[in-house]
Order: sequence, then C-alpha cells, then structure tokens
Amino acid sequence: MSLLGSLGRSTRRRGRQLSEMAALLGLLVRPRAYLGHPARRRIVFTLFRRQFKNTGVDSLLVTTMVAMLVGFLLVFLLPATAAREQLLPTFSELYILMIVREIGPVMCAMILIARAGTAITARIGFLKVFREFESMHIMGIDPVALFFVPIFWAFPLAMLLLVVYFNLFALFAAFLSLSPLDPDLGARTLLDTVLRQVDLQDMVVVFIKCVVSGFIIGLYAIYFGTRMRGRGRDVARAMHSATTRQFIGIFGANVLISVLAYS
Amino acid sequence: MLLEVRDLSFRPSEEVDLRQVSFSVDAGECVVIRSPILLLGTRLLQALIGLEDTLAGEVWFEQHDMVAPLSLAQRLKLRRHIGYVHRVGGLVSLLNVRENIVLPLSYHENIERARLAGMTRELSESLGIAHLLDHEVDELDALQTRLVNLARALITGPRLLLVDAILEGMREEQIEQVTSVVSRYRQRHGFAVVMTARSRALPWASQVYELRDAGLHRVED
Repeated sequence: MSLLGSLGRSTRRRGRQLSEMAALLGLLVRPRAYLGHPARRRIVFTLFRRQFKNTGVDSLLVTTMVAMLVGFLLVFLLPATAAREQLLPTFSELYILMIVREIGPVMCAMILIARAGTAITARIGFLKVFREFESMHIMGIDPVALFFVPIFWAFPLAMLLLVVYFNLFALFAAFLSLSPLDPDLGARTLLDTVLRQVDLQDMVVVFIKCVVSGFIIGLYAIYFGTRMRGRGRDVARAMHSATTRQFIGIFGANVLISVLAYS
Repeated sequence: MLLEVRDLSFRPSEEVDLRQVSFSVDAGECVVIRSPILLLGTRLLQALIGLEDTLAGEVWFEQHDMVAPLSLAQRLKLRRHIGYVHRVGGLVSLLNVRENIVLPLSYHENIERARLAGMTRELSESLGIAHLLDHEVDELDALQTRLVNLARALITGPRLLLVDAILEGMREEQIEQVTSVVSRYRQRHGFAVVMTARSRALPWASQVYELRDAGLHRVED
C-alpha cells in the first residue's frame, strides 16, 4: 500500500511539475508583454546580449577543446586497414554520422548545462534568497517578462552557435590528424568532401536538436530556480534537480529526434 | 485622501504582532512611524503595498484596496505609483547601479535615453552617488545601497514614497543631504511620504506615530 501510495504521490508531483512548466513556457514564449514597449524592449535586449555572452560566447574555449579532442578521436577510430583512397570518404561519412548528427548537439548541450545552466539556476535561486523578486514586484515589475525571457531565448541561440563552432573545430582537429596519414590532403578537399555529404535533412535535424535542447536547458534552469523556497540550502538542491533533468531531457530529446528523422 | 489604513491586523507570528493599525495620509503629507524594532516598521510598510499576509483590515490607495485579493498583474499596476526605499537590499543584482536606478522608469514609461541619462545624472549627483553608477550592486556598502534605493524611488516621481528607516546609521551631513534631496523632489512632484524610523526621521513630519504594545499610537507632541 505504501509503495502504491508513494507511486501515486510521485506521479501527482510530476504531473504538477509538468503543468507548472507548461505554464512557465507559455509565459516565456509570449512576446507581446516585453516587445510591445520600446523601453522594456531595450532592457530585454540589454539583458539578452549579456546573457548570450555568458551562455554562448564564454563557452567557446571549452567547446574548442572538447571539439578538438573529439576530432582527434574520430580519426583514431578510422579503420586502420582502410586504403588511402578510402580514407576521406570513410572519414566524411563517420564525421557526418557521429559528430554532426549525434555527438555535436549532445556535447554542446552538456557544455551549456555545465557552463551556463547550473549558473542560471543558482543565480535565480540567489535572487529569491535575497528577495530580489519581491523588490521587482514592489516596483510593479513582472520579472518573468523582463528577466527570464532574455535568459530563456539565449539558450537556443547559444546552442546553434556552439554546434557550428564545435563542428568546425572537430573538423579542423581531424584535418590535423589526417594530414600525416595522407600528406596530399588539403583543407579545401576535406571541407568539400564533408559538405557534399551534408544534406538538408541533416541541417534541419541539427537545427531542431539545438532549439529543443536550448529550450530544455533554459526551461529547467529557470523553473527550478524559481521554485526554490528562498533558503540558502535550497540552491544546491535546485541545481542538482535541474541538472539531472536537463541531462535526461537532452539525451531523450536527441535520441527521439534522431529516431524520428532517420528511421 | 491618498492613503487610508483601516484596522489592519497581521497574522500573529513570533516576529510580528500588530493589531488594528489605522492612519491616513493626504497628498503631499509626511508621516513618520517610530519603530523601536525596525523589522516591525518594515513589515508594516510592506503590508501597505500588499506584500504581507494580513489577517484583517483595508489599505486604500487611490480608490484601490491594496490588501484585497488581486491578481498579480493588477497588484503590479497599482504599485507603479509608489516608490519604496528599502533599508536593506532591495536592488536587483542582475543590473548595475545605473540600470537599477532607471529600471522602474524604463519599465513603466517610455522615456528617451538622453532624458533618462540626464535625470539619473542629476539625482545621483545630488545624492553623492554619481561615482557609483557603473558599479555592480554587490560592490556597494549598506548606506550606498540605501541611497541607490532612494534614487530609484525618486526618479519615478511617485505619488507615495515609502521610506524604511534609511537615515539610521547615517552621519549628520549625509542626513542633511538626503533630507534636502527628498524635500526638493517632494516640492517638484508633490508626493506624500510614509517613513519608519527608530531615532532619525525626516524633520517635516506632519504626523508622528509609534509602534508599541502591538499597535500604532499617535504621538501628539
């Protein structure tokens, strides 16, 4: 009975969380409240630029390092028996399949969670601990429209930037690794071969993965930050809950999108 | 009558026990509420804008009961004409000092950037915080934080200014400076002031009350 009871309570809690998140998402994607007023729009864009820098631009260094390592690894995984003339087509196929379609979006999402998602949850948590939402309410300001919207929209945009960046640096690292194996290989030849293998479907799928992953990270980061009760110890708990769900959400969404697109 | 508080009672707790608080404020008037325990004054001011969980009573501001059950949007709309000066904290850490000062005005009004910059400069120079405008709020000390709070409240030209004991702990010359700035902006905008204080209050109060014995009592002298 107690097992059934706890299962019921857990289901009810998750159902409530889902409905709260749906309501939050509804507020975040409603543009009229914050774009209809020129001065508010100015604040929103200022915060968006700041958030985009914190989220995307500041993640470029770590993204470069991870992308280079993944690029080296991909060349290392190439079949040792592959004939020299088969090296380039085999690599291109693997690169598109593994880096562009699958590993790139997931890796970038993980970098974004580690670099910005947790920070946002903590930041919102501290706003709550120090009662800054209350002071916004006192001024007649709705913090959702003004502060969460730019934070939320910075994530998908940062994801798109990071994925492009990741793919380019993985390719660059692969080029450095392939050069000793095929001294005649030029950067242009490698790029042309890879680009020929990319089709519109791949680009659309990667775009969708980026946007969905960005939304998942942003939504969970904001949701768990705002749900805190305003005690210092809740910050760590909120970060833990947000990160766990972001990871599960990212992997689940990426697998689902790939299965739907390529099955 | 700009503000009328009728029989306001708080839900009793370990921190606050206030019952049947009543007073009224006319436009342009200054009311001081002496509070030996500063927290009591803070909670009373917060109740006036509907932030406290009150048990009974009414707070009428411009024909609206601030403690009645209202939607968040309605409540936010009513508060836009009230300036609130926090004794502790109150600034938004996502923004720097300059952005904090212009925040309510930018949010509620559509004012040109140049005019906004001029208003910010004038006010911050008057309060002696012009050198802090590009600082982050966590770089400010407690008194500077109060002055930025005051600047943020004054720049909106409110109809009612609620001041939470900001003069406590200030030096004489700082008190004089704050008093003269509030006086100048009060003459310009004609707002009423409700201020809590333990020992230091604005000098031109037309009514003085004291919070004691779980109630608000008028001081007649």
